[in-house]
Amino acid sequence: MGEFEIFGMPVALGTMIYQAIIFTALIWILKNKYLGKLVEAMEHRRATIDEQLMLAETQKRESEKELLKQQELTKKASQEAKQIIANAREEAAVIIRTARKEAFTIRTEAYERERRSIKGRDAS
Amino acid sequence: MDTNRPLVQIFGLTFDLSIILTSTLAAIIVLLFAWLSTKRMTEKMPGKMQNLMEWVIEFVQNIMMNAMGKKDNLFVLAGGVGLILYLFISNIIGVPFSVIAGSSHSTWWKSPTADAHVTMTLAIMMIFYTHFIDIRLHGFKNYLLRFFKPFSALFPINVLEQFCTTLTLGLRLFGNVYAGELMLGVLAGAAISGFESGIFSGVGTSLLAIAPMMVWQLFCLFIGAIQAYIFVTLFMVYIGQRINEESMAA
Repeated sequence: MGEFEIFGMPVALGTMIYQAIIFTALIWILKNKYLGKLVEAMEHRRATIDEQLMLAETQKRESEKELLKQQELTKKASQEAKQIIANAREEAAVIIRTARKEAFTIRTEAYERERRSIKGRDAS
Repeated sequence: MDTNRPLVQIFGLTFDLSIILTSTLAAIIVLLFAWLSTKRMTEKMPGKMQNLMEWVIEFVQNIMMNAMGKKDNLFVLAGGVGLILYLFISNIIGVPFSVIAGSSHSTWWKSPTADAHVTMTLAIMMIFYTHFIDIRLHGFKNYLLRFFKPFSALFPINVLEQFCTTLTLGLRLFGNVYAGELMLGVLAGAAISGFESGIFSGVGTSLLAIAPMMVWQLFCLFIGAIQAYIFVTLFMVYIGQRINEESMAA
């Protein structure tokens, strides 16, 4: 049973019309009620992620710049510290040398004083 | 067993009730899925259903990008997403079981795409839409003139091509799903009653037929997905051809 036949096959036009209507309605509802806002949400998310990625990239570049700066400063500080330590060692060596010299003089003077006092005691 | 289609006539038009039942149910399932996926829609962390729907949308957008070179047309996107979901569900809805009832052995439950009425209607709609896009983009005169290119002598071939495209688009889907269900019917028949004669008969046949039937059901799911993908891809390719016809000719 059908409205007409093509190569002996019955064609039910009503079924085809119903199919066309239901598919059109399906696409219309999907487009207007669901997919529109879902695609919009996806686009927003994509834009937000792109923005965040760009921000992260900028911050990464800035951090790398800061890191370089910090590394330079650390290097400089380390060199300065080494210099200070070298100077301190030199000064300490001078102080030790002077102190030894002074100690030697004091010891010699004390020795002489003691020798003179012993000599004086023997003479009396 | 010979089966019939449950047909009714209303206002002189013939309707197949099994197709009306199953295709309406397929459309309702698609809408239900769309509703569930957008019920708790969020831009930040999508849930499982929203994630699945977004995957389908991106899948169709990729097909659009490959076939048309653009993916921002919401109508074509909605058409593609609706088509792929509707066809996938329509292709597999008759795989788990079939319902044959009544004294006239009417088939009440089968895949709607196992009927050429459904696939040909969809194919005709898709091809009409591609012609509509062509006319809207290039004008009616250019649209008509294109049938005479590259030579006027090719006019009959160009017209024939449009019919062939529609026929192949619709019948490819119909043939694949119909053949799958026919095979399932044969295997199900063997599983239920076994072959009537020969060494493979009775319970042994039923046990022998169950395993291939289950494998074939899985294969039908795969075929259903592939055929939905092919239909949507071809739809996008035909639109792409219409959109880029001038650049292709150049």
